[in-house]
Amino acid sequence: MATTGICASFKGEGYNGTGHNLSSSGGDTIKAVLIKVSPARTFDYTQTNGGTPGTGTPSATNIGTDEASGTGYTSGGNTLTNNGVTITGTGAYADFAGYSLTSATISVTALVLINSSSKNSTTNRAISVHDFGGTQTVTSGTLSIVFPTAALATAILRFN
Amino acid sequence: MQAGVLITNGGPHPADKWAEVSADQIVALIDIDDRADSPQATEARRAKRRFREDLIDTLTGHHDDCIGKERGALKTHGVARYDQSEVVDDHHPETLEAACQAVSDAASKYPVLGNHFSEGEAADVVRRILRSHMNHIMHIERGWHRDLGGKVFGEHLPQAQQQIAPGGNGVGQAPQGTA
Repeated sequence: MATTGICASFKGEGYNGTGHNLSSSGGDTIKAVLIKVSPARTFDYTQTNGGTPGTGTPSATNIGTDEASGTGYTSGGNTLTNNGVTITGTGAYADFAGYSLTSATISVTALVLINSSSKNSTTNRAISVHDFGGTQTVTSGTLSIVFPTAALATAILRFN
Repeated sequence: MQAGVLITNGGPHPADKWAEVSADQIVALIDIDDRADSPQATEARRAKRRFREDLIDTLTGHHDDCIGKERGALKTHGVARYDQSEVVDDHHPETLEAACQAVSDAASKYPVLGNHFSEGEAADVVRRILRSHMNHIMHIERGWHRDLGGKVFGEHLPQAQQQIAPGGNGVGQAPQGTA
């Protein structure tokens, strides 16, 4: 289980000089790490780092063995295509291209976005957690993550 | 900031499932005060429900067109297609244009929606939604092509199964739930 939300550390990093570059050109490498069924940890805004997905005890600094595994999914997460940052009205939002696993057999319950680009010698900083509302299982098929409409009121990451 | 999940066993997502995702995101742009009980609000809510169904019907054809064109391109270019952009505007702009026009046309059936989807910010957002989903369709078709060792999805099946496979999906697999 997970609780959808932007990680508090991600918000703080916008103020202390360790911010994230979500630009479409030259931006950081953002990965989507899938969470398994019945994870040991309840992922939420307190996550600060993805750590070493697939390895180690799950904690606020490590997704660890709570990462999902299955056919068609690569441990460590899939790299997203950054669609860039839009500043509009009273706020700003970032968007990513949706992504899919094909020929996949896997069960998942949530998604954690992490920044795998190094900043101040730190990698895999947590960005946000997205719960799927229950177990999602695919068998030899396609599992797609569809991000919400890229707009200030709805985007996957937004400050408004 | 809720991420949606779309799942289909046995192959790529069929066009009608993409149409449903697109329709849900588009009708969400119609903001009606749930507390309002005026005749106008009642009419707007009714229009919103019917508009959603109309969108699913009309966009299924457009998403199917995108699937078919990307499969055609994969057949023509083979693995070289993977190096080309996954942006529908670059390859099938007429498909995107037709889908955007279809949304505007569908909305025009409902006077209460006026020209909300034919111009301005709403039209821009509709285009963004449809572009995103069509880009995603192209990405998935390429993924399956790669997984099948350079074969277009559907064509890897025995001839008899190809004939009964629906155009945009294949193999008659029952689509599974979304969240």
